[in-house]
Amino acid sequence: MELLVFAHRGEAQEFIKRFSFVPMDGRNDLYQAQGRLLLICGEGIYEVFASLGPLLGQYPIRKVINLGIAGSLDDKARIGDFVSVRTVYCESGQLHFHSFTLADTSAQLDVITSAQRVLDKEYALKLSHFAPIVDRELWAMAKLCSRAGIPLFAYKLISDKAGEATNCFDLKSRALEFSTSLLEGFLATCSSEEADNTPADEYPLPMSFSQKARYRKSLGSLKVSEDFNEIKFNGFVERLKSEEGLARKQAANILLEEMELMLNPRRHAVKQIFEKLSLPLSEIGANVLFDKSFEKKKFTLQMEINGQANLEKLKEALSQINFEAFENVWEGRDV
Amino acid sequence: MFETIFVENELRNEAKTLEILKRFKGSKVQFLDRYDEVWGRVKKPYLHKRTNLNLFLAKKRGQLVKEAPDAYGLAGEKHFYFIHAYNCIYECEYCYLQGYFNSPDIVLFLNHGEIKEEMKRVLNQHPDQSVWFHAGEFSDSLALSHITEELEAYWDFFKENPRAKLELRTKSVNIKRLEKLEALPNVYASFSLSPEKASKERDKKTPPLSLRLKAIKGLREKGHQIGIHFDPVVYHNGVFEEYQELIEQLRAVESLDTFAYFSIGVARFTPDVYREAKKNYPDSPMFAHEFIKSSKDIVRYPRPMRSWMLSKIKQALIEAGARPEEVYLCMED
Repeated sequence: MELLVFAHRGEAQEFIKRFSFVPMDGRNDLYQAQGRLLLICGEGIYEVFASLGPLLGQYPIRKVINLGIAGSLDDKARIGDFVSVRTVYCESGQLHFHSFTLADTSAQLDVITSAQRVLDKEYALKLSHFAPIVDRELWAMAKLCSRAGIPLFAYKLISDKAGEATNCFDLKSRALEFSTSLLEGFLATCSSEEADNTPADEYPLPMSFSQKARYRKSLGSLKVSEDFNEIKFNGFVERLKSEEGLARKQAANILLEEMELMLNPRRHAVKQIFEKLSLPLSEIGANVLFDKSFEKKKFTLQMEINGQANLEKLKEALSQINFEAFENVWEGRDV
Repeated sequence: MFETIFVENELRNEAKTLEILKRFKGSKVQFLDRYDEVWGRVKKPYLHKRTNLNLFLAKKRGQLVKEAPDAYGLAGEKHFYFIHAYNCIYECEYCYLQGYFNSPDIVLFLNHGEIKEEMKRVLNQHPDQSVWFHAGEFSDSLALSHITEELEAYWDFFKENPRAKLELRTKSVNIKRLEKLEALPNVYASFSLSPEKASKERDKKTPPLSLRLKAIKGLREKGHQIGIHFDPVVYHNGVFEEYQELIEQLRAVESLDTFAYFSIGVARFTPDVYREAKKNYPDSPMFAHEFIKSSKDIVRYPRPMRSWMLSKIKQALIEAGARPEEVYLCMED
């Protein structure tokens, strides 16, 4: 479900007509129409927190689009322009360190959200050091969407030059004009973005929760690898699928180990050499444990001792172990 | 090049400031009391440098010279770095600046006199040994040297103090200012090199390898000392063949035993930089192989993997003629 958010009803009026939005739950700030919600959140960041926050938890919203007018702080944002927002900053009596980068990767202009109206040149100049556009709400929306993991897009119609003229700026008398321009911009820009492109939850084999996490992580890395051969990989998966007698968890583990081996080609060689070097110990039933990535230059020896004979065997096995040989492997000298 | 140039009020009438402003006539100019009223006050995404890069002209306050971490340079000598600038005009995918500062905007510090004074104080604190001063810890040390003209500002200090050694770390080929200066035995231009393909893919906006090799040749001909950094080495199939070729290309420029030193380091990040780099370059093949958070809070290849890579490249360098005592492994214990 897609959510359109406006600060003022005047800005939203043409959208309500065009998409036949109808009020929802007896409220006069929330509307719905075929797979879309429309919220009129009110002006300022506190209004956004109060109205948008609960809504994101209440409905299965997959995408939020903010539309509204904004002031220009710099020549880069010209009056009448309809722009997609890249990053949003915030000033609410103090600068907020955290910025949020929105979902449109082709956007070029930034916005600074101000908790107060920009009524003088000096304040406008201060804000212009951070962004060429000022609005009153976007940062709060971005903070909420970031927390909820929902992609946010924002489109601003540059309505005026922020500063001394802000006081005389009459939104109400020009609301219809602004709403029309916002709708035109929206239809031209966002029509292809309406589809819900949620990726399918696909795993080649049945996997546990933690195996799925390992799979996603490894596949993500492999896909950017220059050395990754997808055909060969798919062939390996198919062979695993057709293998009889393999338990589900076991098959998934074989696949994951193969993937991890591709990501760290030394792991296999190092593992084999360490197994060989510690053979005298493993042959008498002792476990030689290394850390998972072989990072630490040490191993732990684990063995059940239930008699003098065990101790004698252990003594004999230890006399055959040469720690320097292990060190050579850790230092990359003898692999 | 720069969208806005911010100048500290204290520096607005300095000759150097006026010269820089004259050079960038197309940039807007804003004056402020302290550069950090704007720079780093909000988290400006690193990649905004592609379209909205600002320049700050400022005075460095606080610690002007800092001690370098262990294993930073040649062992057995004291190493410090001095801070002449923040951030870089290049865009390397692995660069730690992307997670180190909160802004990609460039800061040029203009109070070189004070920095030199501090270097002198540090040098006097270590009367019986050589002391290294590294430039380029937070910025490329040659890329903007034609604008800052800062090399000249430091030259006399190193000429008068042979015990002090200067390292200029760079990926640039902007050697015009350096070429004009007298070659000093205690000043080293050190070039970071990667195989051609890797450099094209990861060292965005940097000069191609061929031009860097040409710059090295030019400086050697003028008698300048040259150090080479193979850093960061990033694993993929064929990486050793690529480094073998790079070593051959370097050997064609100059016999390897004439280089002052070689340093080799594998790709490594702080956890913050690792996160940021993955966010900025999600499709980079650099992240295709396993990285782990090692005990030093560094994200890097597991020990056997990185030791193997380092020792193979070190061996290749030595076999090609580099002096073994001048090849060191950067940031390895």
